[in-house]
Amino acid sequence: MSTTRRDALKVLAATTSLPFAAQGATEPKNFTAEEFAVLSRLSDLILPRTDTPGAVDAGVPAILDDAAGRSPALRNTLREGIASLGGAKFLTESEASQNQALRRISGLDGAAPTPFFTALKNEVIDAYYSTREGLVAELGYHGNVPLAEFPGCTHPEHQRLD
Amino acid sequence: MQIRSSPEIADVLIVGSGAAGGMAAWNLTRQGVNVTLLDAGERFNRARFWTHVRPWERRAREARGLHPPEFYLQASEQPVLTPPGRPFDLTRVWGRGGKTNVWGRVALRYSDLNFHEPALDGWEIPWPVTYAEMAPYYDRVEQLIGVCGGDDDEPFLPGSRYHLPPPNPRCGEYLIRRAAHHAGVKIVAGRRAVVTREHNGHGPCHYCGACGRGCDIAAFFNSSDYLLEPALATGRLTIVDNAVAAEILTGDDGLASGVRYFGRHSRDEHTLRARRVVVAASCVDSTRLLLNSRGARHPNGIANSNDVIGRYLCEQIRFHMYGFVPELMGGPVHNDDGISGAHIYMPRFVPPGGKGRDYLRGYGMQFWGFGAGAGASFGKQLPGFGAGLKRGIKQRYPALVALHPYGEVLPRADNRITLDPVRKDAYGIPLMRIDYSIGENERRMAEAMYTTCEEILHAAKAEVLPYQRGWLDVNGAAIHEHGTCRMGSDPKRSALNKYCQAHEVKNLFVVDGASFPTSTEKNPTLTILANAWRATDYMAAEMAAGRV
Ligand SMILES: Cc1cc2nc3c(=O)[nH]c(=O)nc-3n(C[C@H](O)[C@H](O)[C@H](O)COP(=O)(O)OP(=O)(O)OC[C@H]3O[C@@H](n4cnc5c(N)ncnc54)[C@H](O)[C@@H]3O)c2cc1C
Ligand code: SF4
Repeated sequence: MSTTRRDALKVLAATTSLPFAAQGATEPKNFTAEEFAVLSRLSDLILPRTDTPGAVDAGVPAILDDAAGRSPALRNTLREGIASLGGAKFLTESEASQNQALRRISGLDGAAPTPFFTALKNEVIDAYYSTREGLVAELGYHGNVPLAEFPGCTHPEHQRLD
Repeated sequence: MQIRSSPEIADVLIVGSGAAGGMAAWNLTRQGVNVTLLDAGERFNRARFWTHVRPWERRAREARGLHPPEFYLQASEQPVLTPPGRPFDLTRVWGRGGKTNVWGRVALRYSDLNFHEPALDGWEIPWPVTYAEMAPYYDRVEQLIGVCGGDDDEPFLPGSRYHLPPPNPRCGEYLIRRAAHHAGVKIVAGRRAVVTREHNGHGPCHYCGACGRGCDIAAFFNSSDYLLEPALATGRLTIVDNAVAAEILTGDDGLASGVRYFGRHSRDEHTLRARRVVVAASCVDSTRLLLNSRGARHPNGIANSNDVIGRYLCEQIRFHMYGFVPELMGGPVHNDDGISGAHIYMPRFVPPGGKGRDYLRGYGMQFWGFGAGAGASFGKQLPGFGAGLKRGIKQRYPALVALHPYGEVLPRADNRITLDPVRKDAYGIPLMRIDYSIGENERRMAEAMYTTCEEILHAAKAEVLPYQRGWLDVNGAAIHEHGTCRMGSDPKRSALNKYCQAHEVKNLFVVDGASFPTSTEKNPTLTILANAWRATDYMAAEMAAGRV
């Protein structure tokens, strides 16, 4: 085993434990452990932990694993994309160069975002903002509950016609 | 396979139990008529609706192998054939109440102009009904089912004295109303068949905002709870669930004599004899049934010697524009659920003096999805990634505004439903082909629709999510199909008279949206209900007089 691969696996061990421990699950069903570790890292690069939970805190990688199970096309896109970033080696790179790599495929530098980036970002957003962490802790959603009255807008300044 | 024939003869046999069939069953039974109703599905169990299951709870339930009720008919069970490159996205709910279990509840009166506009612009035939004739039925339907709304009375949107209190608009809706006002566009209170206070034993709504998953307390109108249950209580309604009608049978006299149908799951074939048949399987399924009813006297399908049935399919064009209003950016997050969907509506907009109007008919606008929703999929359209993206999404979350204009599609003879000569479903019923496209008029109208949206969002100083001018939803997406068995005063150009009675077969009535000569720019269900009530009043009177 090459050094880089061994290093990669070390990082992998450190990162994979989190989402599945959080979910109480054992291992990914539609990715290898290495791919899953990269996917987890990428999820957090897209929606990182700030003063609120990040994608990994919210269990997004496991949700992506399930989504890939339902869609072979998505699974392929994600696996190929992970490979194109260097696979497990990606995890040994510095945060700055990981961000750089993501930036190159994100469309921020002028070219169109790659299909992989778009698929990944869309899935991470859908997943994260459907969790309690993303919807409630981050965004402050508190809907879908029975109310006696619906107040609606209570701001006279919004209600003016002119 | 087994063919079973019931010895009884139904007084009235209704096919379908959605808005149209439910109304027909309710109105006939309460007038003392015995009714048998065939429905392609069964009752949806409200106790099992996932109305209050939030996204993360839904995932946890699904992980345990649980599923929400499946309202929608899968295309794999009943494929719809379309020409290459011209999809038609047909949405069907088979089961008691049909699509009213999940409908958007927008309940708008058609205006006088909606009914007679074809007579003014010369495009196809006008309705044989006027607003004055329909108005008392709108009054009755609104009182029966409960429609919340304001006291607006607009040229293109007649008012009502019977609205229940409308829900207060959300912040974004007030801001859009103001912006529209600055752009010269009038916004009124939305009108929805949601009971905002207890009404005829239903509701009240508790503003959980989850109507699309079915309301577990039936606080919005659905045919099953509001019409079928009271009709069953009269003791004069018999419902045959899971009965897929295949053909209307006819006698030597050419009159309807019953219906041949299949058990949805058993696939057994049955016939049921009837003195009168009311077709209400929703526009497209009703049309398929009529075209497949080819008795000796009706080689082109029942009541279709003039080849009108199946033609003139018309729906609506629609698109979506999203933006964020500056006043609400980064502001507090409220519970914006309300009665789910917009609390405001834009009646048909025509620039002053019709300036620049180069199309026939018109468009109105809905605004679903204001403010804090149960997701943030708009974030996919913001650039980049990382903490900046996360911040950007959070900032915009309470400020989301959404514009959804609906435009009338003209009826055209070539937009049609036919039966495939070869392919059949599991029961041996021919599959239908939908051959439908929009034309120059709709493309010109779409331009105007985009301009109106842009003007409103511009006046709101909104940040607008990227869009492509001219883009339209896939055909069929508005779920407002009409025209394929239209009423009219000229029997050569229409299939039904003004009471939805077939010109050629007097004991056959078609009371759903298939009978509408035009699609208008509005959501049709309030009018389907009013019209089915009107038609079955006539039918009951004709029965009493011994004429049908
Ligand atoms: C998501 C959604 C949102 C909507 N929003 C709105 C809105 O805001 N406002 C509005 O006005 N309209 C809205 N609509 C449309 C509205 O639901 C329909 O206009 C209305 O339900 C039509 O009533 P119907 O009786 O013609 O058909 P349906 O309600 O579709 O009922 C058809 C019935 O026929 C039965 N059937 C079908 N085929 C057969 C067969 N072969 N044999 C026996 N039975 C059969 C079905 O089981 C069903 O009971 C919406 C629809 C959907 C799906
Ligand atoms: S918002 Fe009202 S009508 Fe809609 S599901 Fe909730 S209680 Fe029912």
